[in-house]
Amino acid sequence: MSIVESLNIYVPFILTLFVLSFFVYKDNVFFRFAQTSVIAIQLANVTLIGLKGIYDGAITPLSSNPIYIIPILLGIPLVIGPLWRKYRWIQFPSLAIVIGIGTGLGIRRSSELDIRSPIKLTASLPIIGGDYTPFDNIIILIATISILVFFIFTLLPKTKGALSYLSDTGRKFIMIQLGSMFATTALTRFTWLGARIHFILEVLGIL
Amino acid sequence: MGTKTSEEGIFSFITRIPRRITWIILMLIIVVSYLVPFILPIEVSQSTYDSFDAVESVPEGGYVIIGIDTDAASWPILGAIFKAVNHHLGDKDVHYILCGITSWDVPGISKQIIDENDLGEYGVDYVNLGMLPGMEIAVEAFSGDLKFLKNDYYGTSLDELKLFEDIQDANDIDFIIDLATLGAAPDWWVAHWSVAYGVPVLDCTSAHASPAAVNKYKLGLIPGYIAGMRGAAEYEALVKLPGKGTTDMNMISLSLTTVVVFIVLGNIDVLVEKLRGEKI
Repeated sequence: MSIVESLNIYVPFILTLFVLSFFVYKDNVFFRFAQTSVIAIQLANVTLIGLKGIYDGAITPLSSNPIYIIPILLGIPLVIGPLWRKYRWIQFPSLAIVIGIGTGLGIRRSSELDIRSPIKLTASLPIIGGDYTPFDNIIILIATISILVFFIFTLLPKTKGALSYLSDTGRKFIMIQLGSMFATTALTRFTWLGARIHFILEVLGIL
Repeated sequence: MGTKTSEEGIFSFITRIPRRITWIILMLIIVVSYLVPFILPIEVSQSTYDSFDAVESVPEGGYVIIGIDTDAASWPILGAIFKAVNHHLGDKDVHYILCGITSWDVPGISKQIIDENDLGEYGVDYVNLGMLPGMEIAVEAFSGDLKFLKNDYYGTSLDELKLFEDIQDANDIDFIIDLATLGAAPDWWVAHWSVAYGVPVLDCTSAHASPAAVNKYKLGLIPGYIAGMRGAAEYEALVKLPGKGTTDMNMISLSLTTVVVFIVLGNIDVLVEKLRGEKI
């Protein structure tokens, strides 16, 4: 095994043990070392990939197409603007272009994914028939209406009567959704933990 | 946790177990699940069946984009999914284009994909573009011109690569496998490739990012999704290639059962104390 291959195995192995020491002991210098090392490595990685992106996306094509000088010139104020407090306004035109293009693309995306398709699907659900049972369809109907009521009427100061019950029901549906998200997050975290323990067992030659 | 005012509840010992002991118990259970192999039955979900059918419909010699939009931590999950899907695509002699939009870990993960899977000859059967800079703008630009980045990840001009001889834009791409746990990358692929050009997007994701995939699947915007280790295990069962997904599902089942037992016992204790009228 070469030195590089050994480092590729034993550095992650030691860092994994350092991180797990937080769980089985408490906050300690080894855990802190692993934590700051990962942050530092990730920062270096992000910087290098960012620079490579500028080189590949703008500087390389510049030789064949001079128009790429425009994004490069627009990018310079974004770098020096935040460093130069007095003249930070120089970054605003570039930011406006980035935000403008992003918003334009976002509206195109949202109109289909977040607005048209969900409304079309929910509105076309029959009570009896379709992909779901009638019970499911009624739950979807109640959840949709009650969550809409919750978001629309929450800020009204004295919502009482049927509307308040509906709004409360909406809140409970949202809590169920958040609970489900928490459960799936826990599931993912266990998979990560399992992957690290599997790695430790492999390095130790047990698996 | 709770403040006891009179005699202890029947399961009150649960609330007194130190956190580190709980973790050690869980880790030991994970170790045991790896050391003592056993097979739990796997029920394949409809979304995985649909994903299988979508992959089945990729034409012979087709062009497939692999979107790497995940971090290194989630790679054990998505690596297992990709291995099973790649095995399924194995006979079709497809061409792969590897790229990433939202993840800074693209270089490492793409290297791992290349090392761990037989993708064929570089430049002919697969190409690694690395990270496409520009987030959503890059996804849109890529759909209009596959060579909007002039070079691949290693600096070779795309004009010199045989794979790019016959393809120009999204119309020439047959399928997208998005390995995504980060951000809105699947939404971008769907909006700018699937809705705009009709390219099917298979959303391969982790469990915690799956609610977004479920939405798109129910809306009919994606043909299917494969979520988490369970999705990997289901796909492995469909392609008859038991692997990491299957073994890790055993680990997840055992460890989560332990957590559920802890939660139930703790809650019974709280409930009993409440029924006794004690202040929790």
